[in-house]
Amino acid sequence: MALQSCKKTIDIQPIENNTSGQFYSNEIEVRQAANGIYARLGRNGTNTDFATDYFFLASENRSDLVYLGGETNAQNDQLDLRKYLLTSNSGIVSSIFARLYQMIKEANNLLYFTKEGEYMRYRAEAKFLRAYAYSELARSFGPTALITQPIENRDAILLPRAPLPEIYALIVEDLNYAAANLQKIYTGADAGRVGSVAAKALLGQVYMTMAGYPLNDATAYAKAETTFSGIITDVTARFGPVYADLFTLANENKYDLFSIQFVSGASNLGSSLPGYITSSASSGSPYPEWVFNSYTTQGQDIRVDTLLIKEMKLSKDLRFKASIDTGFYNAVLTSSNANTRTFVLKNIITKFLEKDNTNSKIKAWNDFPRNFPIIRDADVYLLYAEALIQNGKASQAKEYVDKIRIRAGIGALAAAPTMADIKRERKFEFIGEGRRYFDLVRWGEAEAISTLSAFATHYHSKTNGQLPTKRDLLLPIPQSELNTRNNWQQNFNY
Amino acid sequence: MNFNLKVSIDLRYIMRITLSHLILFFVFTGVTYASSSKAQGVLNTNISVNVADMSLRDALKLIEKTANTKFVYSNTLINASQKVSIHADSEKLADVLQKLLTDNGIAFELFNQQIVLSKAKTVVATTTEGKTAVADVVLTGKVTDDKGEGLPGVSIKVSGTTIGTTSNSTGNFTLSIPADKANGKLQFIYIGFETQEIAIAGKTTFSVKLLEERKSLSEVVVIGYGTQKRSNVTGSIARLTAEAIDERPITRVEQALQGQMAGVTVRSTSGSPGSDLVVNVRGAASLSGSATPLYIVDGVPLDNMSGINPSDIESIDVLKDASSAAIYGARGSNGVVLITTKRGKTGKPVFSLSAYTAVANAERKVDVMSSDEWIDFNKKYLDRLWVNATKQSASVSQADRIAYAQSLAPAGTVYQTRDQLLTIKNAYGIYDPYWGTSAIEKIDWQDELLRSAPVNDLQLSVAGATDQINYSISGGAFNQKGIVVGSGFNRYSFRTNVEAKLSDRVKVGLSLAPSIGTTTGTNVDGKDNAVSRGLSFPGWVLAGSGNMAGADPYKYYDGWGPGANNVSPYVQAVYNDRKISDFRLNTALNTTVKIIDGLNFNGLIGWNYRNNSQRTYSPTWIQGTWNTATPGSLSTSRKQGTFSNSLLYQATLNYNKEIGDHSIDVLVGATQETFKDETSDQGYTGFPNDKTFIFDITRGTTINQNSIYASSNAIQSLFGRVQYAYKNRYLLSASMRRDGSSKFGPNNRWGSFPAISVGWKISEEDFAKQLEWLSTTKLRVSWGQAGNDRIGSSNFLSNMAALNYVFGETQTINNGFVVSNIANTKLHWEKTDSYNFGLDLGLLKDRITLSADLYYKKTSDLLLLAPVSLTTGFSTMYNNIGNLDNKGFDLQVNTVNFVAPIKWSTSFNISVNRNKITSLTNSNADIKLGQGNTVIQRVGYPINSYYLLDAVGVLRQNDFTQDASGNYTVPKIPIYSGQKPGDTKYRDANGDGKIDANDYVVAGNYQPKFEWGMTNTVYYKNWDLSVLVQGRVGGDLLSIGSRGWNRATGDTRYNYMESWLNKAYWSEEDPGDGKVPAFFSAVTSQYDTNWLYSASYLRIKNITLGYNLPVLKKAFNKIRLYASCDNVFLWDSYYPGYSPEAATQDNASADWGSYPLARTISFGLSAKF
Repeated sequence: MALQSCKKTIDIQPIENNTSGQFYSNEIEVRQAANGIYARLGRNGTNTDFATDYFFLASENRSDLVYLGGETNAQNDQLDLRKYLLTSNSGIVSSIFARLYQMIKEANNLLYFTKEGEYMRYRAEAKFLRAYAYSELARSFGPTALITQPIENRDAILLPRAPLPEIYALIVEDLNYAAANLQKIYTGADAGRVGSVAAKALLGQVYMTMAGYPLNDATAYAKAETTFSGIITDVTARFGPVYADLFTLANENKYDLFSIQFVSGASNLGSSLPGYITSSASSGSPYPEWVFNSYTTQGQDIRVDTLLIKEMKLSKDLRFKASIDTGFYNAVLTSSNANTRTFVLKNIITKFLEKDNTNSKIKAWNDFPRNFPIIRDADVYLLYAEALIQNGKASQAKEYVDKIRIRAGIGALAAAPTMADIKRERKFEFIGEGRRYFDLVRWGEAEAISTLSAFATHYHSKTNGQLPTKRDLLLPIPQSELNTRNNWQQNFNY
Repeated sequence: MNFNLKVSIDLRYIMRITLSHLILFFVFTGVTYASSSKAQGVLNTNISVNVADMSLRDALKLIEKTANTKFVYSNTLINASQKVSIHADSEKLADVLQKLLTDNGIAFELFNQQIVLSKAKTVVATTTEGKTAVADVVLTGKVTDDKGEGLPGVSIKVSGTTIGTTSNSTGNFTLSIPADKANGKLQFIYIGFETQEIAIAGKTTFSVKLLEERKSLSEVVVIGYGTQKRSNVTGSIARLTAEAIDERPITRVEQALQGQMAGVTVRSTSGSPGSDLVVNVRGAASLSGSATPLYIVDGVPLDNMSGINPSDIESIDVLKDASSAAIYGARGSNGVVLITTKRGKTGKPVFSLSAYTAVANAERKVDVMSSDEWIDFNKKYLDRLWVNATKQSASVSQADRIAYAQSLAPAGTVYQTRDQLLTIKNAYGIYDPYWGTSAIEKIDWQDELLRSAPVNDLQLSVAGATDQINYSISGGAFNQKGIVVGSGFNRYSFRTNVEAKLSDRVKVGLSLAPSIGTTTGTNVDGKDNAVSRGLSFPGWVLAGSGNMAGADPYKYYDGWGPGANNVSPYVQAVYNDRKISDFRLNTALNTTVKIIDGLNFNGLIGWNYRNNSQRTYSPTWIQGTWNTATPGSLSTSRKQGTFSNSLLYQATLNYNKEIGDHSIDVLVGATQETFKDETSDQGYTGFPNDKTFIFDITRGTTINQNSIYASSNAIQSLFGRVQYAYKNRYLLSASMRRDGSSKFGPNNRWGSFPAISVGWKISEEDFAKQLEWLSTTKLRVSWGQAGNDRIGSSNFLSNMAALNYVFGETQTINNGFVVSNIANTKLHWEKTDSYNFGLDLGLLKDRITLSADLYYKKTSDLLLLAPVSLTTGFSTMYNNIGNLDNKGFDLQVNTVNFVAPIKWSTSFNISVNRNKITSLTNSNADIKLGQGNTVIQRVGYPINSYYLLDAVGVLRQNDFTQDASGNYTVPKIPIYSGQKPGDTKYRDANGDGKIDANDYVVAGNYQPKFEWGMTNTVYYKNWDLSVLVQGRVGGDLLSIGSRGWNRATGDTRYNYMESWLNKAYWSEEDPGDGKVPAFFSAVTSQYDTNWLYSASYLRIKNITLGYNLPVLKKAFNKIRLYASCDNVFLWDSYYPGYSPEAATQDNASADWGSYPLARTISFGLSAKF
């Protein structure tokens, strides 16, 4: 008896009563676990969300769309990415890698602790999100460990880097499973949850990636075309008529297929992306006409390519104003300061900045409410068009490219689109959305390196970066990961 | 150090009783001594009796009442019915009894405060009863101390027999012994004095001078679950007594230890009132950050010393090696600090009063640019921009520069107003039109932040004991203003220790110690807080705003200054309301039962309760953007509360016995400790007005914090110890503890912690006794294992954590859960094996004592939140990740240099510790942490080493060749991509011809080569003077705060170290000191050794001068006045911060604007009456 009570005294379960073994026991909990997988794309308990780390700092920031106006801040990681000085010690790279595997882990747990046949919708969502995470790992890091159930460290460190085809096979399987077990689109209270259209769209994008560098899978364009053609009607139904409306709060989850959901005023559920549009004072409000005064900026002085600005201005591209500002006043206009306030000239991406200086609900620089689209209408249109062109059906592609161009206010093409047209539209369409860098890589090593080098040569004379080489087509495997194991080769030349 | 080793020491001086001896004597032998002196007092009482023809029995009863004493006698020996007469008018009891008893052939003696009557033996020999009529030899004599004063109550006995007596009030004795014992030896035993043996050898009169016992022999130290004579200790234990604590003003318990004990290092990392000090025993034996020792107050473990009033402390014993600490098992590996609080001493109540008042000032200021220097610096920088941009001379006037800019300006642009000029400030090197005008005024932020701050302390206590009850009741009030404006600390504490003797066998005691500590003032340490801002804001504000700059109605100096929306560090420190109140109630209920002679049971229930609440409020009017906000809209209010309590049950059984040459002491025990805490946190932003910090759900717009948390853990233990001594010469101690902790999984919950130690008291050997110069000398060898379980409560389990997400057209927050940590069912104890080899040496009758210890501590299975493969979906898990070594040497030397008329003693200690990580899991992969990953755990190096680029100077033009356009950009030596002349020159550590992240090296660490402390104490007549000097040699401190005010940021709006003006590279013609790079450096964001400064220092830590008032001796037992100065002087080479001890950031290894230490001058008095 005494011994028994002794044992009890030191056998203490956490008071929250929330160990993973006890979870996943009913629909509500499984749903909450599914929400948790999505939530890894948000702020994830840190200062920055996935869109900021991945699509902006590691992708857009390395592309030929933006350059550094100056080094104003000791954020080495950001500088290193932009200047192609990236090492495997980069904190941003490590956090991207970690976050993608966190998503995989949450999905694996849900799939492991539930049975096939029950909670199918959440299992499908888990498979979609797992596939999504693997698709980003594959295109950014190359081969990595393929893990499909909860794993302990001692087992994980023995796993090799699985070849890309193996990883893609899992992605395709997961996405097909998701597509088969989800409704097309979810709306109302479920808006923002993925549906089968999103699963197919991602599958199509995955095929397009497989078709390009480095896998160059010749059969993939045809698979992409088939996949897209199956959803093109549904996507057309969601096509946003006005480009400038795509990113506004009022139209969230109307036009896009899969986006990271943000809200301001809650606890760590806002977007950090607008916090990186340019560097300014670390205190006070740098854009008094745009944002409420608790705002401060982070990061480097990242500015938009002036050639791109010129070209878009010249063609009166409607996407320009919706994506970019060329400067801002340093004070709110009052009766007395009309002559003294100054206009600061800086070409900055403001696509995701909620310009409302009375919005006190936005609590901080990383508490912005606008969603970030990972797949939206134009992704499907332009990738479908690209697949058609690659499959020799350029004339069929015209319809989709034209719709994009007409929405942008630059008119339909005179002839069937070429790859050059696709490349141009993608560049302008997705400014600030982090597509450009992956496109360049997909379109081939030589093209990627020469395009990026030309850009870097032009701008880096001011910021003293290196020129990109083949190694920059992948991110390095984080050193912290290599430190835990001795069976992985680092990516080329890192 | 100046040991006085003159051989011509006058032995008379050695034997003189010194003050310290007296105090120790009181402390350790108080009860017995006090009892005999009380009895002495009884004999000296004047009584009046008037008895005629009364039975002796009744006469004695009468005297018992009158004199408040008690007679003990046997009716068979004493004829109590005999009639006696006595008349005494206010005569000494001794004299009365002399008349009453001695004349009737009855002897009396004092024993245990009673007067014992016996037949006078001298008389026996001559009486008619005379059974032993011929046999007895009568011995007489007198026992005195070295001054010739008679010693009462000395026990005198014939060796090996029970025949004996006690000396009377004048030290005289009479003893009759059988003749056959007359060839034996007489033993003179008196507590506090050395036992003497004198051969009788036919003598019948003796004049015996007893020598006061040497301190080291009588000293008792506190060990785990008991006490032990210091001379028999086989482990390594350092001790500090009330003496060292009482004589100078001390605010925190840990402060008393600083510089006093070899192997125990104490750092005041922050001068913040009420802040914790960092204590390490023999280096850090854990990586988990918690390398602090276990604190035990009167047997009850306590997490923190902040509620303990230093004046309540009787002694502090630090168990340094594992053989002494292993009895505390799971929590002993970082050493154990045992604190014993004061108890009453037998006798009438003693009232003590001690009080001091002090004034504190910052020890020093940091050498940042003055107001004028900042303008010079800006001008120099702007001139350079002008030259670079236009290739014109720096001497071109401001008017010409503006004219030049105007000539190039687009049509319609005018450069006239200050705002217009600001836009071309950097392009054309335009000065602020405000400079040299009355638009701005000077301010020294350090002067504004720092102040002379008063400190007051008052302590009152009463203590005493009777046969039945022992009590000590004290109260203290401590009040301190911080030297940084707005900060302060006060503590009110009470302590009651009461022990009642219920019967001869049972004693029950209760301790109650409530305290409340209140800390006020906002955080001043760390990034963006007041100190860091004070150093990095330039010394200019808009005219009229003064130290209120930035707060309503003033704006901050804009444009060339840091910007309109900044707020003065003074406002930040003063008007951000913060109050932490920490209420603690420490209680202990203690029962001791004597089962049979030598066998005691002790039961202890300890209950510690703590309620800590922190309230902060930051009103809108002090926010930089007050002008664009409505009152209240930016106000933030927050309250955090922690409520915790721990409950300890402990039972021990102790048996000790001496059989001939064998002495044995056995202890067995069991304890159970449970700990529970609950925290809550509420915060709101956005109030309807700026009037109050009080909020509820209807008052406020945004919830910042709203959480409740609770956790609990428990530990159970069984332990035992055997201490054995043979001939008081060969010592052995062995202990074993089994601990079970709820923090580990069911299979790894229990751990065993054995220890064994042996000692050899060489000085007790016959050969050693012949060596005059050699006194107490002992060799000690020990080994033991102790553990550490200080991690969170349920880390062995995989837990779910909330991570919410938004869904739906209306952006609704949906609850989400993720798996927050990886299960580690194999998690188990961190263990430290400790080997200790020690030597205690006493020379010249212990005038020189030395204690030296060599140790080796090997910690294995370190607990750490260690990196795991990211592919698991986790980045870290609590794991047993590696091994760590601490090797070292402690030396403590105490000398008495002079004894009279000046008594001068010196106490010196030195601690050498070498710490090294010997293995880490994951193939010994590095673990990096801290700001910019500047702290590294790497195998082969000490823990928390610095990981930096090695700066070796400044790049010059001749390190480059010119490119086509004439710029020096083509390097001849390895550079970091983009570097130019004026940038920091780095060492190409891996020799690959370029500098990059791979050239980071382990550049140093905070650990010193050695640390030392020396106290010199001089007593002369009524004066006493003590000087504590302490310091460290070796080790570096990373000034991570340099990121703010000691870096080439290129942003001249802020203030920087003076060196950036005077010692920096400005041009090839003005290259500075070759160490400080250009402020316009191209690559400035690397972490390099430019921020690494030597952390060696030498500090006169304290000087205290005291005077014992002689005139008041009649009314007071003691009254002492003193003046004391803390942090008198500092010699160091740490430049960008206030103190080389200020390692507060990043695992306590880097400094970021730590709170300055105070130089405190205090005046105090302590009195006993």
